[in-house]
Parts: sequence; structure tokens; C-alpha cells
Amino acid sequence: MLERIESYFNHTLSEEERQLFEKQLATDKELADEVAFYLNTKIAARENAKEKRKLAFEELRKNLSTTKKIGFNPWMMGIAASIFIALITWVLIQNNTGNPAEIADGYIQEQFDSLPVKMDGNADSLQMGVRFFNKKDYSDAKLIFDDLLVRKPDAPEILRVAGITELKLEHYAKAAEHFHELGTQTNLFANPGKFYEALALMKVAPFDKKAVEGLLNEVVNNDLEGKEKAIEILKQL
Amino acid sequence: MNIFARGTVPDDKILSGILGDSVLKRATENKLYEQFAYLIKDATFKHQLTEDDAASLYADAILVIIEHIQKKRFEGKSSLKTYLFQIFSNKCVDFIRKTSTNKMSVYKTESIDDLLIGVPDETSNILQEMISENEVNVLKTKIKQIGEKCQEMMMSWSEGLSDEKIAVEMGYQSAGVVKTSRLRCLEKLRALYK
Repeated sequence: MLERIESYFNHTLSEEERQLFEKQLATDKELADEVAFYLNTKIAARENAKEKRKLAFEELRKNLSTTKKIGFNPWMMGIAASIFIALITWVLIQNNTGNPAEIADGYIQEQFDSLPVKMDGNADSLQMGVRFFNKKDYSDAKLIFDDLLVRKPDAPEILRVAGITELKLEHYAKAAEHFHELGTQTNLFANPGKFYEALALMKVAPFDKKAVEGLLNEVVNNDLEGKEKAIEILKQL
Repeated sequence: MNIFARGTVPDDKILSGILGDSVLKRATENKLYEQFAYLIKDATFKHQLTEDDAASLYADAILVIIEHIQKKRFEGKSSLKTYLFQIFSNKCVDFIRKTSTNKMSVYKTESIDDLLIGVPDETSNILQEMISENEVNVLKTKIKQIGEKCQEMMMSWSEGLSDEKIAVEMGYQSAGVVKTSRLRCLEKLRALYK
């Protein structure tokens, strides 16, 4: 009977069946009770869905309150601005001979054209973001990865793909931020964080040669992922 | 409350995201919530509300916006920010007038209008009479007893997702399997409800 009720509301009954249903609804108590159950259930499920969503928003508010405070501390902003000015001054007196942005471009284009998709048909958020990335819809991929990072700010795989997506969007400082966070994790079997951070910083103007060399040397000395490429880049810088 | 600011997403992107697949939809909804969350702090000053009350009303306003976008009731005559601000302000004023509310309860404007499209007036009246707040409240509790998969499936169904979409999102083989499973969940619920 539920199937028939559903067909009525989905407008898939024939005209004759529909008229019969409506006629019966006015006189048949059993059918009326079933329809009432169907409608009340749908409303109940909707209200549950909204309550669940509201709780998720509340959770999001709590996460945002605790994770975002540092970024807007005026003292931190002042210190960051001073460091930035000092960096510009330092760079201006450097005689920079390398072409770091182009070197990084080559690697970014070659390595980050697409991200691997798991073939298990699982439609989890990470995989959905990866699918957007592979369709070159980087802004939607970013939306999903940013959302995931609010809930799981330390998840290495999310940091990796979020950083790569920022590279594609040419948000190099943001990419470096994600990769830096990834690079600080010491419990991973293979961690490309420091190498990727160096790549992202090679695209940030003005070029901070000392920081990039420091990261690449760290990759080489500690035998981290990206070592061979790091050696190549160090020779070219 | 500028702690929430971290780049804005334009209105058209929010609109297309909310109408997109569930993962993108959820991420966009969160971004929408986050983008204007500073209004919570504003309301605590303007309407003298506690931050928790303001946040609860703000979440309700966001849910209204999402529903309006889904049902194409938001026509884009104003910006999303203006539209949200108006709905949120009205909710704050209503809240102050009522002075008491159940914080986690969702606004009670649920209707079955979308189900009654194309239904003759006479039958529509009969169906409207069938809706009972008490029954809905009992069913809300019972739904929580029928297992997580069933709950999830019924919530998606109640929000108008097609069986095809539910199949993709929940990893079922086909829409047919979803329909059979969903009807089984309904039978299970009815057995509990009787």
C-alpha cells in the first residue's frame, strides 16, 4: 500500500488510478491512516534532518571559534607585517640569479595534473573533492577541502590535496601554509610536505631563497619524499 | 567576530553549490554559515541576545535560506547577505517577543505544500487535516530507533532527493535497491509506531 501512496505523490499513477485513489481516500479509513502515516513520517524526517544540520552548524561555530583566533590577533599581524617588510628589504639587496617560479611551474604542471581517485565507488567528501579537482573545477574542490579541514585540521591527506588545489588556484601562500602544516607531521610513512612547501614558496614573490633552500636541504638531509627532485632544484637555484 | 573571515564566496557560487551534489552542498552550506557568522556577534549587541541564542537563531535563518534556494523562492533580487540579514533580524525580533523558546528546536514552518502540487483542492484539504504535530513528534523519536542507514535514507528522501541520487551518495547499486530499502524502512517504522 505504501508503494501505491508513494506513486500517488510522485504523480506516477495513471489518471484512472489517481481518481480511484482520491475517491478511496475520502471513504477508506485504512488508506487514510496509511497516507497520514506517510505524510507525518515525511515531515518528521525533514524536521530531524534540519535539527541534525543545526547541530552540525553549532559544531562548526565552535570549531571556527577555536581555530581562527590566532589569524586576527593585531599583535601577530603587526609582527607578520614587520617580517614581511624586512623580507622585502632583504630580497631587494639580494642578487637573485635563479628562476624559481619557472622551475616550480614545471613540476606543478607535470605532477599535479590529476589526483588519484579510489575505485571503490565510495562517495565520501574527500573523493568528491578529488573528482572536482580532476574535472579542473578547483574552486568547488577548494570549498570541499576547506570544509573538511575545519573538521579535521590535521588530516594529512586533506592537507596534501588542499595544498595542491591552492597551487592550481595560484594561491601559493595558502598552499605553502597547508604544506607547512603537513610537513610538521612526523608520524607519516612518507611526507612530501616540506618539498611541496618549498615548491609553493618558489612561486611566492618576493622569492625567499633562504627559506626554500632551507626546506630543500632538509628534504635531502632527512631523506624525505621528493629528495631527488630537491637535489635537482638546489643545483638550479 | 571577524575570526570567521577567510575569503568570501560569491552569491552565484553559493547558489549553484547548494543546488549541487550532497558533498558540495554541505560544504557550500557550511561556507554560507561561516561567511556571515559575524552577524551572530552583531545580534548580541543589537538585540541584547546571548551568543548561544543568537547562534541558534542564525542557524535557523541559514536553514530558511537554504530551503528558499532549493525551492527557488530566493529570486536574487537582493544579495544573499541582505536576504539573510532580513530573515535573521526578523527571527531575533520574534525571539525577543516570545522571550522563551526551545533552543534546539527547528522553526516550525514545515509544510507539505510541495507534496500537494497537482492535488485537487478537496483531496488537498483532506491531506492537510491528516498532519498532526503530536504524531510528527512521536515519529521523530521513532525514526531514531530504526537504525542509522534507515534514518539517513529517510532524511534524504524527506528533503526531496531522488532514489538515483540517494543510491550514489549512500553507495547502493541502483535506485531500485534504494526504493525497496526505503519502503522496508517505512514498514519497520510503522511496526514501531503501531
